[in-house]
Amino acid sequence: MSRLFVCATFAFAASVSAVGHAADAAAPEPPAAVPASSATKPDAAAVSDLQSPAEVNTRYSAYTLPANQWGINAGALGMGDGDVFALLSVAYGLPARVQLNMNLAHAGVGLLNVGAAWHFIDTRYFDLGIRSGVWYGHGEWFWIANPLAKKLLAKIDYVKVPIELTASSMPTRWLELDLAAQYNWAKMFGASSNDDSLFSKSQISTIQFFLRPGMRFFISDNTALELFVKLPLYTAVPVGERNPTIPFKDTWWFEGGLRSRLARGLYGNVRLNYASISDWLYGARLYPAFEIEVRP
Amino acid sequence: MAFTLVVASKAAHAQPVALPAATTTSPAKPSLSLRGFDALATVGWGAHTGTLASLELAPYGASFGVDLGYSWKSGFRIGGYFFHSLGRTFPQHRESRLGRDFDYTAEASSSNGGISLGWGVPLYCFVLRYKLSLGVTAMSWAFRTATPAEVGFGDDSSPSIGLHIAPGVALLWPYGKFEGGVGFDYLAQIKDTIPSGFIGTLFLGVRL
Repeated sequence: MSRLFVCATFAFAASVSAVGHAADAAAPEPPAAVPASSATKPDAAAVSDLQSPAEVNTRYSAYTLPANQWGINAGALGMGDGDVFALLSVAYGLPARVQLNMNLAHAGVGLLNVGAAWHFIDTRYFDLGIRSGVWYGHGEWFWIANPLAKKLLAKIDYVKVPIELTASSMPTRWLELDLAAQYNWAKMFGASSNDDSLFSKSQISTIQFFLRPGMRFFISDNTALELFVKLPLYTAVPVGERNPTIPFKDTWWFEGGLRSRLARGLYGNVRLNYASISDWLYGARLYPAFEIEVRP
Repeated sequence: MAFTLVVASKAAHAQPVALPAATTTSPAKPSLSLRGFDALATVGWGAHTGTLASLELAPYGASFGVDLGYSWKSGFRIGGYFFHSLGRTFPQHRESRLGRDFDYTAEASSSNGGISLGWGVPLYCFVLRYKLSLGVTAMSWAFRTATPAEVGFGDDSSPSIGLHIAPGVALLWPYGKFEGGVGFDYLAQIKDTIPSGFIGTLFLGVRL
């Protein structure tokens, strides 16, 4: 569990620093005009709340950061591809609703992930976005793993390319519906088929196709309740020639959380996850995750 | 530097965003003051969420303690907490690969304390407080009719002491000088021999 301590401490320190920057942004100064990413969403864009383009949650949604907007996220104890163990990501919004992002925390432990997102259909009631990226893991640099995993991982490198299509809709002022379909292509180098049980448990670099439906209830102008479930339809470990599969019962997960605007440009997020993989990562099926997001 | 900026920041609810003239605004709402010192008594129930291989230790259960802190106008809060959990006793059976199978009882309780950072957000007449705590857990334990080595607990001695990180959320209702509410903390334990736990808590106290 010492890896947990290192990750959380790192993320915690980054969070406090990030909070400081956000608080600075929260000083009473004339705010910039809310960037309107969609001229077809007059209601959502007109008010400053968590459904507005400047404040909408880009995690697990079709939406992207407004053009020229930075986003810095710091957190720990996550379970997803992009936020497992620790999260210190930097994202930037480009014109045409394109976003680039990278998790610097993972880069520090031998995992490199860079991604891009494009919110390419933007209508009043229906939005569609696509995300992709490249995950590269160099096992020898993965110092944060437990001794057994470190010994095993030291021999391997892996590459993963996820591609995700996400539909989002805000049918009312208090509800957002999201549905994602994601396929992960993965390849491991240097792995032995004798090790497939450990790879199965950890779900490191799996070939996977899953659906992720979710909903967000905007219970006030500054707080949302977010519920998601990951439903993998196919999961396999790219080890050896037979690519052993992992059953659904070991791969699905549920998460519920709260996201609030703490101050202008500063957002807090606490989640509870229930998942089999959490047992391997953290020693318990029910586990929390937290995140601070700054949009200076 | 970060701390100075945090405490100097404005409350989320107190930052009316100057929207363009064409935009809509909500009607003025009564302000909910977040600034002040609060002292809260806590009563709760905790459950362990993991096991140590096949050994089940339950150091949480019924819990009681205190939570003190100061909140700035921005909602940022620094506090401290302490609570004692009575824990529970678990009768268990161990199947041994070498030697005899045997029954035993595992008893555990814990004391937990530390510092917490929080941020309160107005939510109608409530305050939704996000928390992140860092503290120490001292878990007392005993095995009846078995030794720690026999049940696979290693050579640790009671009490086991380790650090924990605890994200949590509380929904509080300030009413004059009084404050009450409900919430949870998840104690993510760093030491392998102390199981992590989920603690649901009732708060009742004063705001000054």
